Amino acid sequence: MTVKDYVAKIKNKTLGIEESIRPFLEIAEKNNKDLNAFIEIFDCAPQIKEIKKRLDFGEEMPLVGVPIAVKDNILIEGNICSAGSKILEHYIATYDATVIKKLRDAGAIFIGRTNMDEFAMGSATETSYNGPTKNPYDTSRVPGGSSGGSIVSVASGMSLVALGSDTGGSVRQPASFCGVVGLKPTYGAVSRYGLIAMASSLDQISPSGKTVEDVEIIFDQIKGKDEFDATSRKYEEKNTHPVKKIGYPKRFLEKGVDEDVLKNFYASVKKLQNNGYEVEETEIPYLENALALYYIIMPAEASSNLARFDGIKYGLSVDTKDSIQDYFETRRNGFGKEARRRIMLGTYVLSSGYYDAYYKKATTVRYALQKSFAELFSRYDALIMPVSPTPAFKIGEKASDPIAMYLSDIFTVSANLVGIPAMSVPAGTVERDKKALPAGLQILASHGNERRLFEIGKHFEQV
Amino acid sequence: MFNKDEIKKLAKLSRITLTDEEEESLSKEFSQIVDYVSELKKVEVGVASDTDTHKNIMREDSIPHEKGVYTKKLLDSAPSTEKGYIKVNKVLSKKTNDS
Repeated sequence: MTVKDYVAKIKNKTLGIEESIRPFLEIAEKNNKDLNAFIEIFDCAPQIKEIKKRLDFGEEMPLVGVPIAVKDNILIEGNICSAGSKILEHYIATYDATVIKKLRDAGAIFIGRTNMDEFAMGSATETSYNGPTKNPYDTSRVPGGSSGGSIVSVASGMSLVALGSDTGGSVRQPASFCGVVGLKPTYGAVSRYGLIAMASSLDQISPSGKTVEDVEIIFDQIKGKDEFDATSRKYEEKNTHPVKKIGYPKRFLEKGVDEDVLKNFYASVKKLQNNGYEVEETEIPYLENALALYYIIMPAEASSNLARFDGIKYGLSVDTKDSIQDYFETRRNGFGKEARRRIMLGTYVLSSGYYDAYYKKATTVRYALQKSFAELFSRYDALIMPVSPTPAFKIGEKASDPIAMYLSDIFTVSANLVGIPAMSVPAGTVERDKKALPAGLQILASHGNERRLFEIGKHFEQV
Repeated sequence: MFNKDEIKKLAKLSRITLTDEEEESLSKEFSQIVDYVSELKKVEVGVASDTDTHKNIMREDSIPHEKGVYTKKLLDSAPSTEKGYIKVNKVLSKKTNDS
C-alpha cells in the first residue's frame, strides 16, 4: 500500500479512516512487544475524530488519515518526548515541532513515538533507556540506528511512513538494514524547530517509507522556510536536466567493506549502467577524513547542546540540597554511557589547549571536504556509495567497542558534514546465518537537488 | 594516553559523576577514540574559509510574542517553583565545595 493509494481510498470513500488505519494499529499491537519499535503507541481516536470533522467540512487534506510514526526526539504537544533518555523520561512537550504542525495540517495521524538511541547517539538503537529495538528480518540483530524504532515501524507494517532524524546516517543506515527508503534532506530544507538537538550543524529531520514516492510525498509536506529555525531556507526547485552521469569513490569504498556488500554495490552499479546511466569511478578528496571529522564536530556540538539538561528547568532532577551537586547527580543518573562519553569527548576537543588542534582543525577540513564535493558535482549529477560496510549486526556485538560502532557510519557522515541530500534505497540482500538481510544503495546529490535522488531512486526500484 | 585523573578532570568540566569502573573503561576508550580522530592533525588543507558558504541570519530584536503567554506551560515543566519563579538550591554559601 502506497501513500497515494491509501489517501485515494479515503478520498473516494472506498474506505473509512478507521478501517484504513486499523491494520497498522493491529500489527503494532501484536508485534511491538517483540520488536520494541514504539516506546508508546498513542490512542488515535481523538485524532481520527478531528480528521473526520475536517473531512465533513470538505477540507482537502493531502495526507488524510495517513499513519505516521514519530521518533521520540520530535516534539508533539501534550505528549511525552524523551529522546530515548531517562533524563527526559517524564518530559511533556510544550509545543508542536514545525514538521508535526505541517503534517497535522495535512491530515496525518501520529500513531506513536518510536524508540531511538539515547539523544540519537548510536548506530544500533541499543542505547535507549527503553531497551533495544529488534530487526524484523532477524530479531537477534540490530535494526541500525539511531532512528531504529521509526524504521522498524515502517518495515514491519506498523506505520505507513515515519519521521526520524539523521545526524550522521541515523535514518539512512537503519533504512538500509531494514529494507526501506530513507532520505536525509539538504541541510536547512526542513525546519529543526521542535527537534531535540544533538549536533545542530548536522541534524536534519528525515522521512522514511516503503517507496521513494512515499518519501517524496512526505518531504514535500515538511520542507520549507520556518521563521522559528534561522537555518531553514525556502526550498527552491532547481531546473535540472535529467540525470546522466553518476560517480562513485572506488578506492575509498573498497576498504573495510564486507565482500558481499561490495558485490551487492557493484550489482547496483551494473543495474544503473544497464538503465542508461553513465556510472564511473572517481576520487573524492578528504573523504577518508570524514569519519574522524565527524567524531570531533558532532561531540563538540552535542556537549554544548546537552549542557541544557541541568535538572533545573525540566526533566529529571536529583535534589542533593547542594546546587552544584544537583547538576552532577542529575546528569549521572539521567545520561547513559554513550551520552556521557560524547559529552566528555566534546568537552575535550573544545577545551583550551586542544581547541585549535581538534575543533578548529576539523572546521577547516570540513570546508575542504565541502569544496571537494562541490567540485565533483560540477562533473557528476549524482554520486553513489554503499550505505554501511556491513548488513545488520548482532545485538550487543559492537556495544563495547565504540570505534567499531562508529565505523558503521563511514559512508553516511559525509552528506551531513557537507549538508547535501542523500537517500538510502533497498538494493537486495546479503546472507548471514542463512538469513537474507537487506542492504541499501546510497545516492547523493548537490544541495537542493532532492529531485535527482527521487528520479534515480524510482528508476532503481523499478528494475 | 588518558589516565584516570585526566578523565576525572573532563568529567568535572562536563558536570558528570563517574564510577571508578567507568573511569577505568573510559580512559581506555577515550584513548582509542582520540587516537582515531587525531589523524586529522596530519591532514593538509590550503587556506579554507567559510565566508563563501556561511552567513549570519538575524531576526529583529523585538518582542516575539505577548508577554506571559507561555509562562505557565513552561513553569509547569520545572521540577520546583515558587511564586512564578523556578526554585533551586542555594548557590552561594559560606563553605563552598565547588573549588
